[in-house]
Amino acid sequence: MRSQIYEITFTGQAGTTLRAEFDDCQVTIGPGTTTLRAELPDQAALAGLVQRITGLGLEIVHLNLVAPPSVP
Amino acid sequence: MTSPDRPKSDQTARRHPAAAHQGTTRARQPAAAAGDLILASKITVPAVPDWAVQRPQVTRLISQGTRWCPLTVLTGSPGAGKTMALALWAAGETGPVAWIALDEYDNRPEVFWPYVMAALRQCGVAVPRALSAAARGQASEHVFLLHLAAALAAQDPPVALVLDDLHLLTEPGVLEGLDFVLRNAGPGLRLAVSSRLDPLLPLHRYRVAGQLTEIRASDLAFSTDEAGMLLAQHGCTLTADLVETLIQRTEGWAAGLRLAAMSLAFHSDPGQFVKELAAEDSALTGYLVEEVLAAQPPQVRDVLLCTSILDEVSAETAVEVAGDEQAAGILIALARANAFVQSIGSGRYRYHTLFGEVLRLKLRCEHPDRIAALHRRAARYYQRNGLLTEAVRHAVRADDWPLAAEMVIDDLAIGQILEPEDGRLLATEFAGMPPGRAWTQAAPYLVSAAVALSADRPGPCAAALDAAAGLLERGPADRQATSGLAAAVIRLAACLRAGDLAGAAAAADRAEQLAGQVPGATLGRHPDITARVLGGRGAVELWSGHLDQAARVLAARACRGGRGGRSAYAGYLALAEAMRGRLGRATELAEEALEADGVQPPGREEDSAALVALAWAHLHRNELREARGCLKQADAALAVSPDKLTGTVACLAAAVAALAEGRAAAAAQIITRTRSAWPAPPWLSQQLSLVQSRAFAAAGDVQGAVAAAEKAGSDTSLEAAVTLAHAWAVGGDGERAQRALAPVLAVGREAPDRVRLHAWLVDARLRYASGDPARGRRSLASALRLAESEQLRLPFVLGRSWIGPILQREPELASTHRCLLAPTPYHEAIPVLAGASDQSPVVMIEPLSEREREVLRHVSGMLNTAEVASELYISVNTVKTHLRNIYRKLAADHRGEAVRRARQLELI
Repeated sequence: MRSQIYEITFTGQAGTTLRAEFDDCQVTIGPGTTTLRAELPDQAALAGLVQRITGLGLEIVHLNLVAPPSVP
Repeated sequence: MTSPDRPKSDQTARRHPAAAHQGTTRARQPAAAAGDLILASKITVPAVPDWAVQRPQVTRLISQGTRWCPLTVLTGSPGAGKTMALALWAAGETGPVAWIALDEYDNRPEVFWPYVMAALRQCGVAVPRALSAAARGQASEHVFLLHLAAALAAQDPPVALVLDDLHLLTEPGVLEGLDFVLRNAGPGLRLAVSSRLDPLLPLHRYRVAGQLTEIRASDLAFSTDEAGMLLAQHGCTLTADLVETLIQRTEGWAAGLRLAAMSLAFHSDPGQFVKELAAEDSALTGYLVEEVLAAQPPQVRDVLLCTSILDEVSAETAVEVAGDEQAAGILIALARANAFVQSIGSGRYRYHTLFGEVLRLKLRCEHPDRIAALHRRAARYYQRNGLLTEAVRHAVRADDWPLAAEMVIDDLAIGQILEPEDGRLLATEFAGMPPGRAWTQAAPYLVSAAVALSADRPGPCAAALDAAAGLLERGPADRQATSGLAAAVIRLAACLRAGDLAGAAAAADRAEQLAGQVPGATLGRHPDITARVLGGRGAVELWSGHLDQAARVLAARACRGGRGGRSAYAGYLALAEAMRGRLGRATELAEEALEADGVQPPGREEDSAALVALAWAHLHRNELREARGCLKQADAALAVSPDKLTGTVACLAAAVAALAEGRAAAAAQIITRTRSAWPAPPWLSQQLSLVQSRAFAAAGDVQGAVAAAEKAGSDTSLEAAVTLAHAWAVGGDGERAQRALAPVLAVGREAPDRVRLHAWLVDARLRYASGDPARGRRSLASALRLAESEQLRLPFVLGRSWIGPILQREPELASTHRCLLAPTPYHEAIPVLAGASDQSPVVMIEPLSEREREVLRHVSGMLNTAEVASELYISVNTVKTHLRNIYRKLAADHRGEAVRRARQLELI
């Protein structure tokens, strides 16, 4: 099972404190949102990350799989 | 409004008057069966705190939902106010409300269903005890669920069962069971659940059938009026449009509103705060908590951050962990001022989950280096105060495995890992211990060995023990005794499980020696370890054949008690007594052990020993059907948790049962098969040979019988000598038999009763055969007399071929021992003297116990067995056992006679 890259966006810009929870992801702050980018090994890891986000009362607005670059 | 996710109020919390009324009008049963480890705080309906905002709209939604639909689900993110909404509704309910605050440990059927039973009992629903025993033992069985559903279906008015935090239940078995009960309980059960996610119940089915009420985040959102009331509580007044802005920004999220309110209370310009909040792009949770923290003085901030690592904070722990004398006062002030530090009674506090999480994140951000030290401080505090599991948990979180392991060893708690009795397993705390690491102390290796053994992995256990052994000598002197003791106890358990008697004996010796070196005060504080050492010694004695000693040691262990090992080894005690021939005592002990309240899963070694003991007792009373039943159950238990030693005795019993049924060949086969499966220790091997000898004799193979008896050591053992004599007697060689028997008869009363009985029987046989009926009669009478007290019928059944004709000729002997011989094939031999049965004085061998009189009273009222069982809250099997004892004591064959005789004796 190959690991894949997911991007999850939630409303609100995460301050330093909240960013500490996601130090295993790449955090990008956008206009009124925060996007996490992480390489996850399987669905269970994805569900776990989603749970961590909702557990902090944050609202997810976007979730997508980043297409892997095609191998020549 | 918000509450901590699980507001655990203590027993003395105020209740709404309606709920109090419910308490007085319904008979209260004890909340938990004795021995169930049920935390009362989890099944208590939380009291509505002072700062809660009344929400009539939401309460009405829930009321409507539970009135019309079997399933009501409240879903929402953390801090949405689900638990508080349910608590508000429950306070106003007149019908019975059962509440369970779930946590992640409840995700197993054997933990979940007992909580359901306890919660139901707590709110006054009558739950028969027989049902609760099933919940512990075979919780996943369909039958239990059927009974529960049936019991609930009869409820009028319906019971409301509230499950808080249902998202923590993910185990499909548990959820399916819950769904089943709900579907089949009909109008008697109303389920109201709160969850952070849509629960894994088949919601769609309920929705389509119109049986689901969903209360989602939008329903739980605060309205403008409600928000106004909440703000007023914190002493803030805002203009209407400011409140409106606040609602919009937070989307009515309860936790957000309360956090904002807390900041507003301190803010000089509330209007400005709200405008900034509205314009702020930050994620709400983080921003609001930061604002609240920013408003606190640095000392308070420090206390909050330090104590955030704890699951529960008390005044003492706050001072200890924060290292600040005033921490206690700060904590109490905070609790009074806001809803995020919630009192859960008895001077303990919790942080609201969300708040606590952000605090922990902040701690990780700002002071990462302090975290391990804080956890260590907490661990030492808990250890000092006797809360080992919490202490270990914090040591583990500090990533300090050696410390965690040392605490277990110092507390002499290794037994708790070997055989966990508490629902919260100490062993799981060590699940994350890195396996391959090389430790410098013995303690982690010892813990690792214990964990491996409890998971039935003897290989890794042995390896870890060896690694520990090397380090033990080099350890600090004051620790040597406790570590050595732990090592010996683990080795003892491992050897017993593997059937290595020599190893077990050596380990038991070592353990006793080391236990003597541990200071008495320490041992006194942890009675489990002494019980375990005694139990191990008892087991070793039992398997070495020193039955009397085994019984004595194990009985002493039972007196010691201690929380750990209460029913461990109880089965062995029953087995020891059974094999000594004290069948009555054995039956008592076995039934106690089997009915013992305890959270241990079914099929552990102790249970199988008790079952075999029970089978043995039934067998020797010639109750073959019951014996076979017990043996079957024992086999099932042994399949789950094998115990070579108990298994061998079970095979012995099976062989003897075959003999009793007249199937000598089958008996011999069983013995041979048992022999080949495993090299048994000397005493067990001897017992196998003895039964083999009897089997050969019964089949007519005298040579084989003699050989087997001689192999069993007929020169040294009295039992073997008697068996040899029996073999010769069957072969018709009276002289040799007499010679073999002589030493046994010479010993006289010093020999154990069961040996003397057999000896007298063989002697009687020889006398009759050699034409000396007078002496034969005396010997037979002696044998019968010895058998009376414990109703040992088996020897007479086995010898029916020659005893039968003799009894025909000796009617007085037969009638004197009528009750002993009655259920055997000798019934026809006993003369029926006309009219005698009505006039003969009823002789009672033993007085009836109080319990037996109760049973008899019910029976005289024409109740059948099942009805008696449910009247007395005991199992059907127990009633049957009582009846058997009653028949025996009153010399009756059936109920009618027993009742008549009891009335004659004016017992009922």
